Amino acid sequence: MPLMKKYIPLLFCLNLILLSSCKKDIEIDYHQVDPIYVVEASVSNEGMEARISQTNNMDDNSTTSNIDNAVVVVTGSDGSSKTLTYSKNGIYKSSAVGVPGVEYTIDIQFDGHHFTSSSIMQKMPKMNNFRFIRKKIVTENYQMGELLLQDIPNEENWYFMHIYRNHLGYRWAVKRDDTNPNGELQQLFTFAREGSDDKDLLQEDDWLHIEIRAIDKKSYDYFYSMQIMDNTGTNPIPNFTGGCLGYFSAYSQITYDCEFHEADVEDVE
Amino acid sequence: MIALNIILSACLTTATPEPEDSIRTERLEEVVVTANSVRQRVQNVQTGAEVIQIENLMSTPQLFGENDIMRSIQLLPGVKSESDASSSFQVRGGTSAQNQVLFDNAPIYNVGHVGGLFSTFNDDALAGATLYKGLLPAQFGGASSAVLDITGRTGNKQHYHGGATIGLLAAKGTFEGPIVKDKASFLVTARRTYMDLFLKLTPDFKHNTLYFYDINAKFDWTISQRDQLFLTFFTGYDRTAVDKMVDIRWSNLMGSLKWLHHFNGGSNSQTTLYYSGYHNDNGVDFVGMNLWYKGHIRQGSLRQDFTINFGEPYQLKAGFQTSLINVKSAEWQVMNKYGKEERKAWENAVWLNGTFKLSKRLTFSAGLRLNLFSPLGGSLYYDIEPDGSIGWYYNYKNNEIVTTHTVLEPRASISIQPTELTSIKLGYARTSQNIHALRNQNTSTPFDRYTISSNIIKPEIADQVSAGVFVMTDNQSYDFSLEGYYRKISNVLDYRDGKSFSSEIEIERLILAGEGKSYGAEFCARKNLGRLTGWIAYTLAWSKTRIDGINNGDWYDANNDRRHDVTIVGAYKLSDRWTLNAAWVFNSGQAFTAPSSKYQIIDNWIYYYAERNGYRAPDYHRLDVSASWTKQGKHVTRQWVFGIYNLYNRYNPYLINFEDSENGARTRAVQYSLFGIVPSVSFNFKF
Repeated sequence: MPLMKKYIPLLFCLNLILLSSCKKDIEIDYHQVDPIYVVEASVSNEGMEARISQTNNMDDNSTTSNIDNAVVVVTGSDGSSKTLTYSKNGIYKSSAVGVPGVEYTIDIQFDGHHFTSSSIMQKMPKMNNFRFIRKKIVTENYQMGELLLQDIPNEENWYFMHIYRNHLGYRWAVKRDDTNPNGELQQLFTFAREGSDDKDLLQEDDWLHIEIRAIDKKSYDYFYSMQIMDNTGTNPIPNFTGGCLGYFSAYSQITYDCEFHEADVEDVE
Repeated sequence: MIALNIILSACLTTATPEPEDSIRTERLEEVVVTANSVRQRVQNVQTGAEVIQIENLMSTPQLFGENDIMRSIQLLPGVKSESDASSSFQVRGGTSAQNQVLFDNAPIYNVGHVGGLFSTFNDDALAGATLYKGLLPAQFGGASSAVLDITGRTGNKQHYHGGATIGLLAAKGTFEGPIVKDKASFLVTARRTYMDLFLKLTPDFKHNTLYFYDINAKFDWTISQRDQLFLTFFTGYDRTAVDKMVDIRWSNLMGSLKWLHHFNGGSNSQTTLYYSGYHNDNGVDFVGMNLWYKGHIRQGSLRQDFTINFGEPYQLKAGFQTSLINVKSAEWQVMNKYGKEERKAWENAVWLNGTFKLSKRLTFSAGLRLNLFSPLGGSLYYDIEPDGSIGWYYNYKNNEIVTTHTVLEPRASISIQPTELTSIKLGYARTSQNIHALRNQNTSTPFDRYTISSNIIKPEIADQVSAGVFVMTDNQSYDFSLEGYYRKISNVLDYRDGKSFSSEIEIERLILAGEGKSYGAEFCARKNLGRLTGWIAYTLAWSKTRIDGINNGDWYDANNDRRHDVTIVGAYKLSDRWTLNAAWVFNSGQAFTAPSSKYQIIDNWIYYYAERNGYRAPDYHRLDVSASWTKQGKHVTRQWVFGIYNLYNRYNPYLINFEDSENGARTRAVQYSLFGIVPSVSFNFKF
């Protein structure tokens, strides 16, 4: 019997090995399609901005397909109107700030194309806490971040959170308040498995910049459909009319900056 | 005739193989049963029907030491497996959710354990099965693709018998015998994995849970020369839990009571009362984030079948069924957010199917099924706007009929036999389905959502025509078949772009309806006699879908579309004790969606999908082998089975993901595979 007992875990481990999955890179012969225009535009408490570009082929990582001859006009339901001026790299800007509760409409015209969208500016979000945590999942420890928001009371709200790591986009998520209206909302970000050579693993002194936006439902639907598109294999829900990709969002935003230090990471159950 | 054979197989008292081509007759005292013989395959009027003898499962190699009926079915022409780890099957372009799997007349909705590694059905509890590949006789309904009709085995009325099988991952036991000799018998089988027991012994995994069990019991009682009662019970349960974070459970529960009465002249009546339920219950508790999600399908039915024999050339089958159905598409709690959608329906069907032997060379079968499906009040119904929002709420009284979907389903088959050894068969069938499954992926999971036809969702209606040529050699040593089919289906459902199962509780907000078509040809050559037996099957198939709002409203390849399937199955009887089995499977690349370009949004590269399912995964192929050693003693038969799944260790595509490459621009396509080579061994004995 002692011999049997010794072999039982071995048999189990054998099964685990046998059932372990494998991954490998494969070659895909991507189909060539005509470029499509992409607009990323916003009105916020910090100003107005629109970037107009085009899609790239899958093997093209350049960011030079920018449009510099567009007329970009943002009008508000309060009667305001601003024409954004071209800056560089396909970006159009105005220093005018948005007002919560106002519905803004963006009109973009160039080379016979006309794209429009609208969005309602939301109130200022509130962050309660951000911390680095370590969670053990089966045998591995995972580096994570926990962001706690205080829901804007007495109204339906949607949030967009974006973490930059050393000035580069790192993690993002959207959340709506239906899981705890008027209360505290939790958003977890999984960074990487500790001990791995994953380049996403946070290193000592990494600088994190977190943007938290209160967005409207139309923007949320766009970002949520973008969040699940790896699972669904579908494009985000169109946000613009006129046939371009991208979104227009009017939002209020707060930011939070911190550095990553291993000593600050809290183990959680 | 095939269906009659299946009914009779319920009366099997042992699993002893029957003579290859004996004639099936039915007597309550002495039941002589044969299943699918070569002659029957050629001469049966029904095209697109495959009869599976449970003892013939031995001719296919075993995975994890199990004879698995679902995996054996996947080796038949025109039948596709969903994936490496799935027990579900797809037939002639349909999805597994469009199939109906019946066990002693009751539907079973989830046919897999451990995510599909094992089938729900313990082969020790089975007598036989028939797969109807879309051309259903009128007595079958409720499926817009195929029906797999499985009959449970009854116990021995003379002697007590039993057996047990011990494999690497699971063990099972069977006990059967007379309750009253020659009058009543019982059969009980039970199976359980012990993966969780291993987990408990390893420090790293002791807080994890992974197990399933199933129990089958069948009692039969010969009341008189004319009357017999059958009572069947089946339950299966799965649980997978990771620490205290994730807990996934699902279960099947089925009970049926059947009364078989014989009239003079070979006619009979079967009255069946059954309940079948499928439940799933999934929970996550992760760093303060709590959510659980569950759903169910429950169905209680009364079914009446009459078989009326007017002498050799004429037979009529008639009957009706009435069912109460309750489907919970979802109930969930995410932190403080609660949602529930549960609906019920009343479904009625009446059918008539006649088989007429018009001449020695010509047999004709025709039937008509009338199906009425009525969703009932007691929960909310809606109008849905084009953007997916709710435009209007309807609150019907409890059990008030919301609407009735009426579908008249004609069925017809004809068999022409130019010679004794050859037949040409033609068939047409219209079928409908009112319980629908929604899934984002190609395979079935515990996260599938189910719903019923409603004021918005229409019944799926499939029309299929099929034609085939069947030839056998003089001594029936070889037989060949070539079948072609065209299938058209309306009201197929798919998720809207950008929606998943958890996007909204109201399932009708998530879906769009469209149409589908599939067509193809199936060739099969079988060797039936000698030391070496087996078959070669080749399927050439197309399957397409068109839904307004998806893929610009254009036709696209369905996600189960693949062009070529080849299966070679062989069994070689090396000696009285040793039998060798092998199966080689080749599937050309399955359709999947990949991006065609990319763009930057919020400093991330985002993919642009120009077309749905416009790409092909790498080809899939593998070789499975097994060797069994059997020693038949005077009272006890012992058997060792050694198997190797995926002998040449090919890593086949299970999932293709797009990830960051070295330059971070997300252009790396990564294929994930589930299994490499998997050896297994099992020991069983029977007394």
